[in-house]
Amino acid sequence: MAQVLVVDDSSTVRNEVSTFLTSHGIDVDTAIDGIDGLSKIDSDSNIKLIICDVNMPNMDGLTMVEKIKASGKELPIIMLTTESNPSMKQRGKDAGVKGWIVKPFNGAAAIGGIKKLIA
Amino acid sequence: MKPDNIKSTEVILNRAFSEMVELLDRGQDHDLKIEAVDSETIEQSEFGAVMFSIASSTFRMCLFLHFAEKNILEGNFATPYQFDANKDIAKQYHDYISELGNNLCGAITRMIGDAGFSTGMSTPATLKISKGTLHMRTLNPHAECHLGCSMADNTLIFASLYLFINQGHESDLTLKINEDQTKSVESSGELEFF
Repeated sequence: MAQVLVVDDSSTVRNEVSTFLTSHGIDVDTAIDGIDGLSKIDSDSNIKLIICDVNMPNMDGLTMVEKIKASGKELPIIMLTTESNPSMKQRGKDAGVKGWIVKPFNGAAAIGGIKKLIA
Repeated sequence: MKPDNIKSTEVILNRAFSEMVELLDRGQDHDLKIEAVDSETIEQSEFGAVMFSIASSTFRMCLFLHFAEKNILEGNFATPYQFDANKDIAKQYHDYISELGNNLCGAITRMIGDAGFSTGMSTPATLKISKGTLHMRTLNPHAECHLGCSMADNTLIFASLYLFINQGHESDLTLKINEDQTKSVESSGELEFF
């Protein structure tokens, strides 16, 4: 029963983001790649927002986003990634991504937008 | 070899490495020093390493982050990431270093992107002992730069960046980096809504 799903192959990032969001009263679940992320989304109908890395093994973040949209689910998705090149962002926009955060994660700078998306 | 490309390789690593060291420090005021080193110093260290590659249509870059696990753990740098004592610390530590390297590599690709080049970057590859510099030397890079970060005379991390210009582009590639820019990206960490 999580409000936010954090999808990243790095346990460091998963821990950092989920610790920060939990400290703001937000319930968080995590997934280690796109495949795990899709499975968590299917099994938890309470998820209101996905925060997702781009470069991951097995299934990358943008492919996961495209699969979510293709399934008809209307979940807001924020990409959290070191990638910032325009073509990558455009692919995210085209797939229906709501926002983009360039790593490193800065919780204080992002929390307002995150709360708005799960309200 | 064009002097611009050698200078730019140095500017890129200096700026990106400084940002990564800030990330390592996280405002904890460790007395961290950054200085240029030679590749022989790195080869003698026998540190572990993570390696990344950056590729464009006209050149490639290889980035190594060589690290001293013991010195970093003893410096309590990992505290902000809250290592879980009930899980494998070594595994969490390697993930932490890989993520530091990922941020370093991301900062480099952003600077290259700002210079007008479209690039892709790899995920990290872990090397048990840092012999990558020896191998790189045999490949005759067009430019290279090495930096070290130390605390109280203990080296924590070295970074090495190598530039390889693709065949046929040796005379036409000019990697011109804006030296006045202070950060690889001003909006890092902020949520940009689409």
